[in-house]
Amino acid sequence: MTQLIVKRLLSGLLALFLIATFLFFVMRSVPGDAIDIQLAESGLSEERITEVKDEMGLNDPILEQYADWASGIVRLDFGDSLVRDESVLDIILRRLPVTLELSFLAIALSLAFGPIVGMLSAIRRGKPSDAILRVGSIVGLSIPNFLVGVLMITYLSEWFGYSVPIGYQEFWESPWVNLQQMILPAIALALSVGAATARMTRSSMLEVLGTDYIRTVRAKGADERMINTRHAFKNSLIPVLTLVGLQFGGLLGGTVILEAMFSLPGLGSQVFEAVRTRDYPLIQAAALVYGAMFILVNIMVDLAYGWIDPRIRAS
Amino acid sequence: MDTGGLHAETSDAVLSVRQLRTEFATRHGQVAAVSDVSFDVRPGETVALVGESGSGKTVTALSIMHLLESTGSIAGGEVIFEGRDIAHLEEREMRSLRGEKIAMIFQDPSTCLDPLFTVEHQLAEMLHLHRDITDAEARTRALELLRHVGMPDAEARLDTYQHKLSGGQRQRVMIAMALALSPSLLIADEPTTALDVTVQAQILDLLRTLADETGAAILFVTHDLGVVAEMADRVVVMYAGQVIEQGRVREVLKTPQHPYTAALLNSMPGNAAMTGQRLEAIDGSVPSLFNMPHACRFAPRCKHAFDRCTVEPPPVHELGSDRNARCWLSDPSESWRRQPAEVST
Ligand SMILES: Nc1ncnc2c1ncn2[C@@H]1O[C@H](COP(=O)(O)OP(=O)(O)OP(=O)(O)O)[C@@H](O)[C@H]1O
Ligand SMILES: [Mg+2]
Repeated sequence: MTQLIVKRLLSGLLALFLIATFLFFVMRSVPGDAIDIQLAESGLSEERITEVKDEMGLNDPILEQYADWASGIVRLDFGDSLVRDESVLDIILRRLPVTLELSFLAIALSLAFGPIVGMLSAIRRGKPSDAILRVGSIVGLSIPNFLVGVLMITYLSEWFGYSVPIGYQEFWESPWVNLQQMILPAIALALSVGAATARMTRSSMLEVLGTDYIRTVRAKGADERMINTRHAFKNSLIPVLTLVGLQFGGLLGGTVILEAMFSLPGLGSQVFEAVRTRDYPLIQAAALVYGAMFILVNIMVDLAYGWIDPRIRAS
Repeated sequence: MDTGGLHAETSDAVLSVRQLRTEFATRHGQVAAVSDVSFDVRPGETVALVGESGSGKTVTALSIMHLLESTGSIAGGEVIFEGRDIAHLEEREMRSLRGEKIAMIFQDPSTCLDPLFTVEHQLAEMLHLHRDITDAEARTRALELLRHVGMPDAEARLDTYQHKLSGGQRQRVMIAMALALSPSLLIADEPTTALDVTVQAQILDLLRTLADETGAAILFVTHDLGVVAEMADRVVVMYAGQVIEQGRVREVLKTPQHPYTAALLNSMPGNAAMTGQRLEAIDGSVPSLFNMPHACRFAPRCKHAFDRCTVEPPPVHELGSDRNARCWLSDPSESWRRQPAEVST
């Protein structure tokens, strides 16, 4: 098990390195440069502009720039933002907690509902409630989360006169306001992950219910509730875990739009803006942070596997 | 009432299956996987249920336990267990019988234990389901049970999972679980088919010893007549969803009354070698459930079939105590027609 985790960590680091390298070269080859634009607007002379770019290392050979940047990353030095007067690390540290809270809330919501809904659907297979739950999960899967966001914002104010409190409040300052600000985008994000887990749980549960070991439990005289909740549900969660790990990537992508939409000062809304202003250092660093989050979550999934499944724990 | 020709008293039997009919709903309509099965199992007795693959042995066993898939159901007949008909017993009442009074073990022990729970948990679960005992008591009892079924290093095995056990050890756990509450009937559906030959013998030994000890009757499903000779007191031969012959093991194996039984005996490697006969596979195959011959179901494959066999279904002929056969040739009143059975052991 430990070996497995170490292996995952190492391959995760390798993946991060590849992401970083890829991003660096791709971003540099995009035409149109924040510095050019800024400097052109600043009214400085051509010579001064070249000097400034020299100071920033932007005229060094690209491989040298890459080496500088890469060695910076190792020291968690991502350089300075090209747009804001702040180091990239400071921006990330300030913004990341909001994104972490939002994604945690969204994952927690989808795990609180998805598997249970899938289990109920499997138990009531073929009944009207199963049909409703299945249609519901297809809808949940197919509506894009930003659309859900828009619908929420529009109809909550239209029908209930409710609007999300303005001015972001941190959780420990005023949890109630913070939750109101977080819950809607979290639901919008949780919908598709929850629906995907529900569907996966349903089909995996149906498969498990047909296995020999479930028949054994039945042959012992256990009632349906015990069969379903204790044995079948636990066994059916194994493939669901993998799915949640993979879906987390999509969920992170969703935070970018939803943070911007709900004016949450997270890393996502910052990236949204950075893309517009071509703030390369920030975009690159943010992408690495997202990559690291994805990898960490998947390592947590592996740990959860070991916790549920003794066969994996032993290996 | 016609009891399917079986004249034994039902009152002294643990289990009396009477004209059992079990149907499945399929895409092509209802089919009867078991259409006329009657037999008795008396206290402490081992009855073997034999027949080729697809003859309905497992469906019969699962019907008794009410463990059929949701598409299957008992469509007729009776399953009299300890004096009451449980064929249509409510699920709640059935649950209190399962494990407690009727236990079952299955063919492939490698898929029959829950991979996510320890051996102890699964043994204790059986005890908790039917007895009001503490966890500590359950653990002690689980350990006793494991030792009793000859599990090596039993104490350490309590906390392991099934993937750490060999096939034989898994089947021992299943047996420990099945006999935990001293049921009066144990249904064993080909319990050794999936095991190595040497392990098979050990498990059969174990079953026999434990059944003697606990006084449990066994309904032993197998397609191996060699195992029948070794394990059973009586044998019930099934073909295409019907019982076609039954009787005491020694009599049936020595003088089979149904050509199918004779053919089965001839197709046994050990048996043919012993009697110096050619090993004969039975020609043809089991008829499809959708296309059953309407008279004798074995007629298309039977070397002794004559015109009547394809026209009129043969009744079950009683041939002395505990013995019957479903064949025109075994009609005692028409013994002039009778041809000598092909096997002489
Ligand atoms: N769920 C089901 N739906 C439809 N038909 C079924 C179902 N289960 C079993 N059958 C049919 O019932 C018949 C008897 O099957 P059964 O499993 O009882 O045979 P068996 O004697 O146990 O054979 P084996 O030696 O292979 O275990 C077969 O023709 C099989 O196709
Ligand atoms: Mg079978």
